[in-house]
Amino acid sequence: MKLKVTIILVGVLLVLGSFCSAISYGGLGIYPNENEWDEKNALTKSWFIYTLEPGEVKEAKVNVVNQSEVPVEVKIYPVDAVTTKDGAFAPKSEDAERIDVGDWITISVSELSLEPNETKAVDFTIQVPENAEVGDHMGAIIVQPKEVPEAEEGTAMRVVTRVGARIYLTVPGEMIKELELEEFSYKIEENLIVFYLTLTNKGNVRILPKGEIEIKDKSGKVVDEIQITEREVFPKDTIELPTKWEKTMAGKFTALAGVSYDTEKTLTKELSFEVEGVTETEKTEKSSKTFLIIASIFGGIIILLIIFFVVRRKFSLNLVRKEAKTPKSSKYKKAENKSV
Amino acid sequence: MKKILVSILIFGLVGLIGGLGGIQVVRAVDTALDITMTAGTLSVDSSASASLTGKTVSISAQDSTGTIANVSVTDPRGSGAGWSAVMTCTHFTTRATQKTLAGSNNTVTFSGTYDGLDGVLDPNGTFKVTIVAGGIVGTATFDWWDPAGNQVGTAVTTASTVALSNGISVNFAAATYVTADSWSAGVDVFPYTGLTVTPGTITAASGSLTGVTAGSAGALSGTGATSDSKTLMTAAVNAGFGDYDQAPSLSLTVHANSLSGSYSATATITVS
Repeated sequence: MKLKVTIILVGVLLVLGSFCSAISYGGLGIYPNENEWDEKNALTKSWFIYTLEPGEVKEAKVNVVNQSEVPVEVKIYPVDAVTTKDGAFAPKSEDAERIDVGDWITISVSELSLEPNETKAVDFTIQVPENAEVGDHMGAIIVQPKEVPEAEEGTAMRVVTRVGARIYLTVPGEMIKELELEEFSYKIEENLIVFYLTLTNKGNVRILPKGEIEIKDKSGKVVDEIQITEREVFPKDTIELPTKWEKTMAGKFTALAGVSYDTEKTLTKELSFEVEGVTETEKTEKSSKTFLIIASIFGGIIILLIIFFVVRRKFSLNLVRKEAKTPKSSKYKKAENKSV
Repeated sequence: MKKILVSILIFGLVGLIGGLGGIQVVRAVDTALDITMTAGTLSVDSSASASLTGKTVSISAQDSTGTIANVSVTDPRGSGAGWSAVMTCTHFTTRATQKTLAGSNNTVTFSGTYDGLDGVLDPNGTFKVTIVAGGIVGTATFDWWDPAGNQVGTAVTTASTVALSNGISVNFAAATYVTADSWSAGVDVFPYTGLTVTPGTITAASGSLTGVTAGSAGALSGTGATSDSKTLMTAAVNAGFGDYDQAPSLSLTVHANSLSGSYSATATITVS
């Protein structure tokens, strides 16, 4: 009886546990208000893209939407944006110091209440400082739930989700678009070759480098061509752009990276590398397989030998028995012959 | 005979009229078939928390592992703008319950979440408060020391709550405090620089995986209370229309001889 109760309790706890881990948090969205859209540029439906003079003031609206079926209290705030080490757009954290676009924006509210599936338009103002540097400035308007659940007991992390509407603001003037391919290297990650392009933006506008890596074997034959991952390099920033070689194979190779960032500007760098025939894991797997095959053969031989000896013994016994019977009859026959 | 002929004629006429009536007039008509697709909004969901495997305090460093389940980015905007999902994390910190170092007054408590900015302190640190002038709350004054052992406050006036540093406050309940009475609270940290995040494989619940890439595995970096952002997954321009799932795995270095207790941190996942 006690066992049954225990099993039921464990079952209930497991069900509750799986329910708790399935709870999601999010369902918020943020995007430029319809008034901010430029029909000639579809990206303006997702991001704020403005060109503003130093000292100019721009009044705009952002739409905040609650896509969930429950009311939600949210925080809304502006931040500066950077890129991650590998070039992904990354709005800064709420408590990070604001020195760029995040500092130029004033939002009419800092908190909002949203009913299920409700969208609210929020006013904000961008005031570009008189001494703003010419070039691109990036930021975002962030929305996130006001309350987040406490972490579980033990070593745990709370997970907060945020959604941001990107802001790409250009202060007009002399635009400098200059990218430098500083280094081309590779690492082996999860048994795949990952190429890294170290790119530095020496200009004042953001750059989205494009290009490919051509891989040749030692005979000079092109074995693969891979497109470099699409990321972005902010002004005066350096990124390490990773590109995986999904078809990593064994052999000696030369990789030529070609990075273009303007209609006529292409940067190239080459490296040579070697991929060993089998990785350590593959070696272990292979030796395990070899051992299994050898063990199976030995096992088989031993079984066959046992069968052989058993059969032979039985056969020998039968012969002995037969021989034990046969001499009598022959003696009789011999005796009979003699008597005749 | 005549009747038969008349009947055939009548039936024939009826059939002819019926047949003619059945012929449909075919006309070419232009009908505009338009459909307007309204854009949705970019969003991100994830499990509300992630647990790391519990460990027993040890004389050597060890690793605690876990996973953030169900990180899901949905892009029904239909604009092809592309998106990025990045993650930051605070330090994993704990605050032990207070100890009475001198005196018999148990009316002082510590509260707040330690920000961990003093780093790992041989192997953990302690906030210490000592009364330097007795009296009731508002009259008594105290000195205090931060986890690094530096005396930060001198003759600070007591109050129901006084902010110390690094996110920690000291609370004085109503009582008469005696000079030299002293209390402490230990704090400890597992820094985010010891947290390796492996973004892992992306699966498409809806949409194509072309142009959608996962970030590289690696430890978080930074110098502040919150780490620098790390890429979880990105969608290039004209890619990433749909619903993409990922379960980043975590491995946290837990230093030797740590304080026992619950350590917590906050990870923030941002999609834009």
